Amino acid sequence: MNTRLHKLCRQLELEPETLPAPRPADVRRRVNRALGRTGRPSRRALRTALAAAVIAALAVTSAVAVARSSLLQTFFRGDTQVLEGQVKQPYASVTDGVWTLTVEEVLADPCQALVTFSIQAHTDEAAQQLNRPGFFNMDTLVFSAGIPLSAGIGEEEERNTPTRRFYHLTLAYTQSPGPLELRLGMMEEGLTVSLAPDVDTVELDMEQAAPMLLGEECTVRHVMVSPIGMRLELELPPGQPTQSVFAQAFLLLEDGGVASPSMLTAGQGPVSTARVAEAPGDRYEVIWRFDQVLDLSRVTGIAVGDRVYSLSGGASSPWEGAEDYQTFTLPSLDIRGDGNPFFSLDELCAGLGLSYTWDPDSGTARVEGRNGPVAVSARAWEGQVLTEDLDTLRRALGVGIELSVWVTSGTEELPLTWIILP
Amino acid sequence: MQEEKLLERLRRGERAALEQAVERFTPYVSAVAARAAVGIGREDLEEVTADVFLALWKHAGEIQRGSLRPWLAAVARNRARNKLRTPPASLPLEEGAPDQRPGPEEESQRREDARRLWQAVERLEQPDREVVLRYYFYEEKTREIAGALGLNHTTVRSKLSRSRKKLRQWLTEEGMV
Repeated sequence: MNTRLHKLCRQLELEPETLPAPRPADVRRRVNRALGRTGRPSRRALRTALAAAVIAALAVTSAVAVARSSLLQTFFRGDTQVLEGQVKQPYASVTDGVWTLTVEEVLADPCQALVTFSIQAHTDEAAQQLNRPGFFNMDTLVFSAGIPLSAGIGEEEERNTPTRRFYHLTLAYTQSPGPLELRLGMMEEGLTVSLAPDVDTVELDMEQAAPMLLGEECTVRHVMVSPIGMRLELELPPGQPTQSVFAQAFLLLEDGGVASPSMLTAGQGPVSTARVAEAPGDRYEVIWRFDQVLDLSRVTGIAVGDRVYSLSGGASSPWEGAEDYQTFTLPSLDIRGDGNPFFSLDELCAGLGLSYTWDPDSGTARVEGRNGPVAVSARAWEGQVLTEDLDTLRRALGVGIELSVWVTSGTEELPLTWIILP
Repeated sequence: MQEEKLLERLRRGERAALEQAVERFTPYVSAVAARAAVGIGREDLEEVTADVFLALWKHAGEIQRGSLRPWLAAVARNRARNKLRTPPASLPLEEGAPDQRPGPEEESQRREDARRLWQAVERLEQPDREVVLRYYFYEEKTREIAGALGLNHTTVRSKLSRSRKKLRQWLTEEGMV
């Protein structure tokens, strides 16, 4: 087995077995032998023990407080305590003796749902199929939940075992989609899981002008905020290009702080921007999924454009902080043709009022950030100094620097928006 | 945090959780054991590692929250040192089968090389040493390492590259390379 330890030995020109590295499979065989189980149940034994296509609900569907939900750990960083008791843990399973599909946890707000599920193999043949490269493809899982605006599936490799693989499913939708139906392509029977919202929300109606990219404006008509995300419903003048649809609502916090969707998504863009109506103006819904859980009790108001809307009601008031939140667009360069964006350090620093020095020998640039200097990888290209190291810049340029990457596939330039906070 | 969930499932007696623990922690447990018993051979190391997981299965209920890794490390070190004190069993070969076990000279050389390699790793300064242990020995992902040590992803990679150069230099000076 080509373990990393063997690689290190080869890189150091040592014998690979200088430092032996037991394979987990060999260790597992020893453990199983010692515990008295030498193999898996035969297919016949399973079919005798389980009726074909039995649907078994293994737990209640109401929210059950269980320590440290793995769904929350998968999707959110930082403190998730406020949501620990609100994750539905249905543990609904369906099995045919060869495969078992289990929905483990569900968390939903009115416009998006997070689901974790697992696929388990009960025979040697199924286990081989499970571990084959490309096992999970478009035919492996069939699911429907109304007409989602966006859907994504990811694997949770750290949880996988040789006979069970874990995945998560994310959905965003404009209306409550009804129950989620899932079925493994290899099975005849599937599961039905409720996506009813579990979490508290804050919702405001308004008719508020708000800036977008490239000097354009939209009208925000509705804001919904939950601990896991935000949805803006906005209207554009007819014919405005979709690419520039981008508006923000800022959350004003009880400690005087401000949180933007960019801040709560670590600089990632919305998970969905969809046109939902065409007349009289183009109506869009923009949905964000946070990467940290928002405690709604800390939110006192929502700022859109130059107005503040208090959660306690009443008319809106001028937002004194409006001018401090500026947006400028920094074009990115796909210099390798692989979609990986590079950014001009000159333009970046000029726009943020920073400075940098570049060392071509080491291929690094030292950017003087608000919290001190930070080193990023940098390279020369056509008379410019470019960097791709956004992760370092996001973390190190200090409180008050926000950025949102807006990636448009199929074009040479990937527009990047920086939102500067004080 | 996923370790907490794993521990809870082990306490409930979920066999799948034990399998998952084996998959996840075999590199870590075997690295700790190998470090405690420098020069230990593959068979013995495999046996020690399996013993640690058998102990985990038996004693999961006694492990405090947040203590899974330290517990595994402590048991691994103890078992490895006990193994060193136990005379090796002499296993009969199958009749007619070629003996593919390393000869005594080869094994002695391997143990010496292992000792020097461990010494070289121990010479690395922190956090470089920790980065090398986590990446090569514990098989953690670079992003996990970056998060655990408060470094960024690029820094982890450059530390690995720099550390490899240093290890190679030191081993060359010792005549191993």
